[in-house]
Amino acid sequence: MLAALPLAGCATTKAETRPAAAAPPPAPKPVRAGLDPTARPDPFPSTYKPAPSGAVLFVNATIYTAAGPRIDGGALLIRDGKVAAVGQDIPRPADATVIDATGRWITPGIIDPHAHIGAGSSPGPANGDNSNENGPNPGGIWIEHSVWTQDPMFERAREAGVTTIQILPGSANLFNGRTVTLKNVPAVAPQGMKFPGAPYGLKMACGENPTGGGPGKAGTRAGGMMGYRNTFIAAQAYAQSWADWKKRGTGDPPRRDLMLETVAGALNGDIKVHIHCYRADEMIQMIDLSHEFGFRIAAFHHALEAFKIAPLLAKEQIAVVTWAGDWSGYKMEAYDSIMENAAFVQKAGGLVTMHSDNVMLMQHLNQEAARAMTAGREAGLGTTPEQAVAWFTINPAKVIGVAEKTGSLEVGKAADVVLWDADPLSVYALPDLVFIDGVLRYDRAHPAKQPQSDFELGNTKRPISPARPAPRGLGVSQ
Amino acid sequence: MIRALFLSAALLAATPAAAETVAIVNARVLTMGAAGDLPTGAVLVRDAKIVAVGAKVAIPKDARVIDARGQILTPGITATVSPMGLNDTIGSGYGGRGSSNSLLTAAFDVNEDVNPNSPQIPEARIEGTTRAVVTPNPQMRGPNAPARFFGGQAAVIHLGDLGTQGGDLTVKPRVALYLDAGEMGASAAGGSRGALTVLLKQAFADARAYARNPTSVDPARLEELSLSRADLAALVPVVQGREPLLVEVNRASDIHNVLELAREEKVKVIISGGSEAWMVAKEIAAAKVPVVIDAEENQAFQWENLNATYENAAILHDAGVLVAFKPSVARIVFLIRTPRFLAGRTARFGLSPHEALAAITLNPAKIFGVDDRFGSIEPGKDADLVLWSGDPLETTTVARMVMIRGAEQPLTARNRALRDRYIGSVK
Repeated sequence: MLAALPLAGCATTKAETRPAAAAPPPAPKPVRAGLDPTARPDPFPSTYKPAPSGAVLFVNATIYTAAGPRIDGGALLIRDGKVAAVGQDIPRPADATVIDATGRWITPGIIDPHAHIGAGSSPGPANGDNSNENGPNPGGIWIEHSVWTQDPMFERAREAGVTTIQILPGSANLFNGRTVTLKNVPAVAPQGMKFPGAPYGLKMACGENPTGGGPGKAGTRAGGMMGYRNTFIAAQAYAQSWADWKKRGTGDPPRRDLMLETVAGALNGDIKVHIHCYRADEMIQMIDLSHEFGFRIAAFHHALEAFKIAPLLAKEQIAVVTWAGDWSGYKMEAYDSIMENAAFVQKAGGLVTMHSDNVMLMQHLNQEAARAMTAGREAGLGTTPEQAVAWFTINPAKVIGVAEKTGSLEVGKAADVVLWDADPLSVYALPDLVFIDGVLRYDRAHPAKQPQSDFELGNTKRPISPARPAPRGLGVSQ
Repeated sequence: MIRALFLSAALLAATPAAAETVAIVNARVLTMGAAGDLPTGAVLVRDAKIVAVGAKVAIPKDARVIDARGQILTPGITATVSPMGLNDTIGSGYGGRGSSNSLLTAAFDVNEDVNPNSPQIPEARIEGTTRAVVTPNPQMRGPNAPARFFGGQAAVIHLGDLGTQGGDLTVKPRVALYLDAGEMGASAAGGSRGALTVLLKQAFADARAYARNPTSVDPARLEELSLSRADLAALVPVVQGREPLLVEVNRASDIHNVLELAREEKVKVIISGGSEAWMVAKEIAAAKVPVVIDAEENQAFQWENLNATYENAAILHDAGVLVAFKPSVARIVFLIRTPRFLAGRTARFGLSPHEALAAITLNPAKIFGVDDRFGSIEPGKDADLVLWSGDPLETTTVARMVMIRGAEQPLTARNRALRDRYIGSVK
């Protein structure tokens, strides 16, 4: 940061000219708890620790590793919560529980990089705060403080193979607060689900949602741009004031500001920038904004018009987090939407993922990817099944910033594994087994392995779906 | 010149070819009708109608022959309880049109709002969707306008390209009167289900009185009921059992109450939504009431959806209930063009793919009283036919040919035009 240089130089000069015989500087005044963010950089720490798990060996499976071509007749060994081996010919240790996956398929656990589950709960009134879109000083919120872990949709998502979820605040404001990334495991509070070591994200928003009318709104798109710029100017100054105080070592610290703290974290790269943005022209404005203030945009979310600027997004290394493309026309900024959006970005060499934004769609992100793949293939873009699988596994892991730990079946990564009863790109596929960090978290054949939230316990009468073979489809005689 | 040629080709394709005889041969045909599934079959179309279907069909010399080897032919798909063509843009997450005029509820006819030139229609058509049951959404009222329990009249439309000839898409107007009898209806009635039942009984009684003698109805009471003369007149076919109520209702006890009310008042009902219908499946079957289920619904969206489950369709079907599928129109508008994926997903939960296909073809036609016109591949019915590259419910399948009322449709739409404009940047 250029602005820091002259100040640092000034401080150095003072130290050098201080008389050697002077009294030692006064001891720094103690800073009261909570007023220095660096004193406790992780104030709401994860308490998630996977239970111990043994070795499980899947054999005779068709495996999408999300790290290379499909493996037919493949085997996967997981041990102590990690992937231990994967391939056609791997060691088969005697102590491993063997699962014959003949006719079945394996993928990494599904990762949803854009959800509001738990924060916008089901039923709506259960969590009571609708924090998805409301609240004072929204840029300073941390959405984890709104996540109700008893939302029954966490279970539904797990049954559909979703193992990692990034929950975002809403999009009603220019700056909407911090995201949180969770492992989809039962817990009393979000701390018990937080993905250890996952970086925070900052949710920003362009276009209709933060523009709108009403108090506190930007009013126009130009007003929105002014709002971003003024806030980044303030955040740069805020970051500088903390740097100066640290260097000085004395005096009162700057007054903490939760919103500027998050924006300053985004400026220095500790916090990933996720921007809700539909239109290509607005994405280009945001790219120029990022150059003006020197921050990196991790991803544009929704990004229905990414197809208009796919090579630029690839060059800027900005990911596209989107749907298959039939969410068109539900608002004016979504008027231009094509089924081939993801395939365009893929073909241009960019990073693309599916996302849900919705707890029903979250249950079939694999199908969403398959449909977007089909559109790409039909358009002659050569989209492959391996790419489509990456759109709901390794690519969202990269967008969130957890790709070193999960998202693909590579040795040493978390054993987040889904065993499917059919090709996961088929409309008929359902998970038979879901493992998270090597622990069996869902078994379709065993109701005891289908956890129920406190909310539903003794409250609902939903039938347990029996384990059935996948239907044969209409292409053959029934 | 090239442009002129293209235009004339498009016009040719779009014009209903009344005189054209078309034979589709060598397809795997899922007729959904008496002929069943044909591993290899042919369908003959003349004058916009299906004239023959079977494993062996005599093909006239003048017929245009479409060789459909390796492809699957089905009836066109119907989008049920749909906002199709009603909105230019729909607004975040919600779709449809409703009346916020307190003197216009039951009589509100959403068919007048359908725009045949909406880009939504070709975008649905290229996905093999050929008909829609367009339904008002009483949630789409103006700001601060009072809630209504009667949403207005539903209509059946076709999704054929009218070109520049004008006209409308109406197949049958006023096929059902939409009523919200769930949490929203109760709220509209003043806060409870009990209040809603009383108000409905009053409204039915007034409609009967109005039918006997239109001048006998006390205008003061009309105001009290918020039912205008137009609304009472619109209720008359309902109380006379000629037009069904399409009742949005989800909680099992609410469904039970609606069935009781229908029996007492001798009105026909179709259940829409029906999250907890599976819990009262036998009662619904005994009442011979069909259910247009929100097949995606396994979310406890509100308290009335607490027991929503993907098993709903199979349990209802096994109990003998006629089921069709609708998208979650009242919430999120995705899938208005692709009921086929609702069907495919539901086929993972005990409903066979064949029954799931029926729930988006023949069943909605039966439920809304238009199965004499479409819904299956049978002689005498409108030629609504779709050729698929594979299983029509699959994610990897696309529609290769779409015919509506005998006219082969252009497989063009706004989303494809945008694709083609920009594809050069990556290809």
